[in-house]
Amino acid sequence: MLGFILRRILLFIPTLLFISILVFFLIQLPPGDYLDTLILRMQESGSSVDAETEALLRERYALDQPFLAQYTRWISNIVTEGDFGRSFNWNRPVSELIWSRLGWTLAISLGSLLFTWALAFPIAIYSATNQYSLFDYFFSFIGFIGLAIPNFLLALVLMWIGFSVFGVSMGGLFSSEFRDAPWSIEKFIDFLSHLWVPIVVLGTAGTAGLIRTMRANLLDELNKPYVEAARAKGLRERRLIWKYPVRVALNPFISSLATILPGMISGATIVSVVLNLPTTGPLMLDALLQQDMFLAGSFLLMLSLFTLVSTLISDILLVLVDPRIRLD
Amino acid sequence: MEPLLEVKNLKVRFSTDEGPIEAVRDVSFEIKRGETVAIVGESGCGKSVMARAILRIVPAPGNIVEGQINYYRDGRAIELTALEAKGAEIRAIRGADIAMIFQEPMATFSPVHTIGNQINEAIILHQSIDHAGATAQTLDILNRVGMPRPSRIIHRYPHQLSGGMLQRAMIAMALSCRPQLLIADEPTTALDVTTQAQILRLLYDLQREFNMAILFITHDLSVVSQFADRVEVMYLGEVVESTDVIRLFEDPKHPYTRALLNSIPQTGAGRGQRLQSIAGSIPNPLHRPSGCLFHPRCDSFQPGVCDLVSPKEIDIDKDHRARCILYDEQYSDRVSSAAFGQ
Repeated sequence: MLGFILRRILLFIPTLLFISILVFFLIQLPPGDYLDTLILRMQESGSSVDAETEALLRERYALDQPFLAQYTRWISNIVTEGDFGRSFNWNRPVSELIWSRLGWTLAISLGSLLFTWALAFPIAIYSATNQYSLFDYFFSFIGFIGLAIPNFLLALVLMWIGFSVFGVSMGGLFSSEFRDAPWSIEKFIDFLSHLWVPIVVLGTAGTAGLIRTMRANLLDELNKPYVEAARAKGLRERRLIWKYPVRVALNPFISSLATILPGMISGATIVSVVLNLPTTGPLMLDALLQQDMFLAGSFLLMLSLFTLVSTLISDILLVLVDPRIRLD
Repeated sequence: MEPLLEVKNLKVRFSTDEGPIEAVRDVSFEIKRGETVAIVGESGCGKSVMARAILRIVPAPGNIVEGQINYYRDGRAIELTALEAKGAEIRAIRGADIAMIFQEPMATFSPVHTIGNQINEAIILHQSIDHAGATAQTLDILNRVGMPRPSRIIHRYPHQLSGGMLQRAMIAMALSCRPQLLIADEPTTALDVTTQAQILRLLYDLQREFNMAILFITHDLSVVSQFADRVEVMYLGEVVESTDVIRLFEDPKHPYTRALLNSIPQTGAGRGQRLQSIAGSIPNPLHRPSGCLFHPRCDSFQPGVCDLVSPKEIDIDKDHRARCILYDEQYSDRVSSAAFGQ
């Protein structure tokens, strides 16, 4: 097991190197660079940039150098000093920008993940064990509505209700008076009162989807002979359902963990824009649009790392929970 | 001898979208202590549903709609059909008094729990015993079913064992609480022939050792001849003939039983002789034939009687009943003598 983990982690290095080249190449692929975007914007606002200044700026940002030289500089700075470069647009080091965003994103995503699981599993188990009952139909109906409504629309509706009925602004993670205040109990309460909106919005579709998959998985398992055998032993119905079929039906979710972690960073961009959340999604979208290449590149690199790590985690978990899976 | 279990006029109905299916209807029989009763019939005749009805684990949408099942413990009758199917009373009987082994040993153990875990569970459930004590019992019972190296097997998962070993483990699990009645639902069907013989031998020996009754459900008449004391032949949910094993093979009465026996390949039969089979196929349970359920396939079919009258169970001899009008005096004048010739 340990050898397997070490081997996999060693494999990360070439994989990440390859991905970083690809990422850097893709970011530079559109015509022009950040400086062109900048000059264009300055010209729009009336000021002009002469060729000399442009050349100077280009030299300062090292944009005049060939692709390979730029890439080598970027990647070696990351590896040796943990320096992800500077964001052109924000004129700040990339690392300063992304860590706090990553933190918020993780908090919101984990929250909505827990919300999803806490709601979906009991409902799915109930629906499967009481198939075609009134509540099964009810939850199926609600579930399909949840699946069908785009998240951003739900966000808009919730914000509108919050504003018109309760007179509060539900966007962001803090009320304006707490935004830059130091942490205190009041600020934390304010944070919680904002946090539930993105959690509910982001969790709804996931919950609905999870109910459908879990219900189907469980229905497959409920008629397996091992369930009947457990029943013939004299086990209590609830206990045997949780111990046997639910346990087996969980395996597909563990493999789906691999997609959850990277989804946490890249996903929910539109909702974040709508709800004005300080998460990674909007920042990355911006960076890509403006060709803010070090910022965008670092994000994409982070995404790849998260994908690799979460695949590894889900593989390890699968081996732990399913004895039929072997490492070699 | 006193009965251990009696089934009286049992009817199990499945309410499906296409209509009700009576998987078991008007079935009555008895199992005495220590005896082996075989239920024989083709697939779909209701024998497995019958077995599950005793444990009250008939899968939805099936329901016991009529009849009684009584289980006798310490001279008192417990009416199993009157108990709540998910209640504590029937759960205390399941696995402890009446245990069951199943057809596919590879699928009857949870793939993600160890063998030891699953056998221990049955022991802890029905006995006041701690984990260490349960493990000791598990090892002991695994030894008795001839499992090689039980101390290693208890840490194994089902996919690591062969079908024969799993069926031994299944038997061990069923016997772990020393049941009075073991229901064996085609326990050897999924196994290869040599393993089948071993498992049957094992069941036979354990039955002597534990002095338990066995309800053996099978479609295999050769297994019946080796193993059973009494036989109930089922067709489309009804018991058509009920007798002891010797009379079943030497003097079968019901045309269906005769046809079944004729369809066993004979080793002495001449070359080139075709294997006999029963004409036609099992009717769709949604569209039961009128009159006698077997009449469309019967070679003693009496027009005007069999297709109109539902035959009653007739006592032919002591402990020998058949559900056929050939033996019903009421119709004796309308049955041609040729019908008895076989």
